[in-house]
Amino acid sequence: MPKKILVVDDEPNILRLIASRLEANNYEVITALDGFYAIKKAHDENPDLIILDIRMPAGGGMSVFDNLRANNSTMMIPVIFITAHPNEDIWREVMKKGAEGFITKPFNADDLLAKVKEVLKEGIGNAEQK
Amino acid sequence: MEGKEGFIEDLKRRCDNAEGELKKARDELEAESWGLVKTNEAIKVLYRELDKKNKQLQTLDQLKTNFINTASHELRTPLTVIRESISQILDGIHGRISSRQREFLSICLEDVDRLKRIVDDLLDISKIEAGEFKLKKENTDIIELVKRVIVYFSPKAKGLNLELRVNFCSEALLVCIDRDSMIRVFYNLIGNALKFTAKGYIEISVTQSPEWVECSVIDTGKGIFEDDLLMVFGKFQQFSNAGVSAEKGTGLGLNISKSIVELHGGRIWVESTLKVGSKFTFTLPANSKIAEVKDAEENTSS
Amino acid sequence: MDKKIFIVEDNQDDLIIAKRYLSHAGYAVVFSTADAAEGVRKAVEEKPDLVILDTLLPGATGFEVCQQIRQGCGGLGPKIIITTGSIDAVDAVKARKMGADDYCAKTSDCAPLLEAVKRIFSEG
Repeated sequence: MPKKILVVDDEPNILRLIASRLEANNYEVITALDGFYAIKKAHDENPDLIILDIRMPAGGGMSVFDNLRANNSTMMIPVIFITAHPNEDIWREVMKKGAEGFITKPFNADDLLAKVKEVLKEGIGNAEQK
Repeated sequence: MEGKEGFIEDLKRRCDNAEGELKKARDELEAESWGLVKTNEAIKVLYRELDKKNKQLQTLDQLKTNFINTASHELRTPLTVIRESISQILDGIHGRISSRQREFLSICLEDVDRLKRIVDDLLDISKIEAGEFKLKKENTDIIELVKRVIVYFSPKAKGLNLELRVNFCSEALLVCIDRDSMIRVFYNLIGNALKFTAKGYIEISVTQSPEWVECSVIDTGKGIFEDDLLMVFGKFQQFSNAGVSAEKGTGLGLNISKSIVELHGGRIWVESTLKVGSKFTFTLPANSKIAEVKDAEENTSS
Repeated sequence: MDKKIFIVEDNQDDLIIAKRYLSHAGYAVVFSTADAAEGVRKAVEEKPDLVILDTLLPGATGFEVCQQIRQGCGGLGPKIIITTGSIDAVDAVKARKMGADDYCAKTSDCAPLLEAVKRIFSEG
């Protein structure tokens, strides 16, 4: 059964591109353009992985992440952040919160797919441990 | 009687004088006291002003950083979209494409990548000029670092039929440098050398004197016009390549290399002869020099 | 408030700032000049409530102007504040000896000057 990935980004073009790239690699993709729908779809669809833009208007990726982790039904879902300007502070914060990592914009397809593959394999392991 | 009166007069006079002197002294003291109080008040005012200016400067600094970060995001987002769109079509995800279409889409991709390199370089220059470019210096074996860059360029050099030579003063040499930035400098210099040399060799040398580590990249390329030598480290300087296959540069690489070298406390310069070749040299403070400076600092503070 | 203030100042920017803040606080700057001699003359003639002097003027110092106004008014006359961009303890003492009522720093918000003016006018 194909893995289900929820992609959240406020830019519709980015969303469309990530979705088509993942679908071409046999993943099932659902999308959300803002925090509200991100949380709703995470609850309703129970994805295997969430790819989340760190910087979104009105709340931002971080608060969506906090919300997901605070909730029993969504806390186990691994999260990969997307960020445009990686720096040590962001990296540390992301790791401290327990996200699975991040990819930087502009990303290339190989990096994205590699990260997704890596996290989904680990994701299963972590879930069992927890 | 006269004697006594005279005596009393004299005494009175002296009393008045003394009183006068006392009053003068008291007035003087009062004025100085007043002066000190006023000066004190003024100093407090100046402290307040200084504090205000400090806060203004901090705000400005923060605005500069925010601008650079925002610009970075705003520029990178459309680049991502364009690149990924083209890439997906080329990968056949959205249907078959003709070889003609492939050819032109590849041209697009090449120039998107070039644009991305220019944007990245410009953002770095912005950071450098805003004083935001932070070096993470640590003791690094610079010989090992140079060797890695050379290994990276070996296939390319071979393909161009150019020899890569080295001239190292020792097997290993520890220098206090920012690793990533230094790799960038060597990448820039060696890459340029390969671009502008049609035949012959590129020689990379690392030598040491007590105070400085000197690195140079020599090529047997076409050389640089004397008039252009001054401009070589300027922004957006491009010269026509020797090789057609070379990837087009941003015109900013040498400018950034210069900034990186200077942030390390070193110097960079070029010597060149037309049709013979060029030599780019830069210096870095040797660890011994840094140790000296640190000792001096410790001694003065103790 | 109907207090009349004179200003003797040769720096145009400082003058504009002082006028602006003083009028905003309700005081009337009825006369200003960059010329020391004219400043002395008018102060002695018209006896405003307050004269504000810069320390450095073309051809004279604020201290001289202060002294001349005091002498011209027979030891009394208007209140005098000497302002300066560079505070100096020796100058402060001199200001007092020359008969100034206050000596304060010039700042971009005129706060020290306004405080001094308020203090002087409340003492009556």
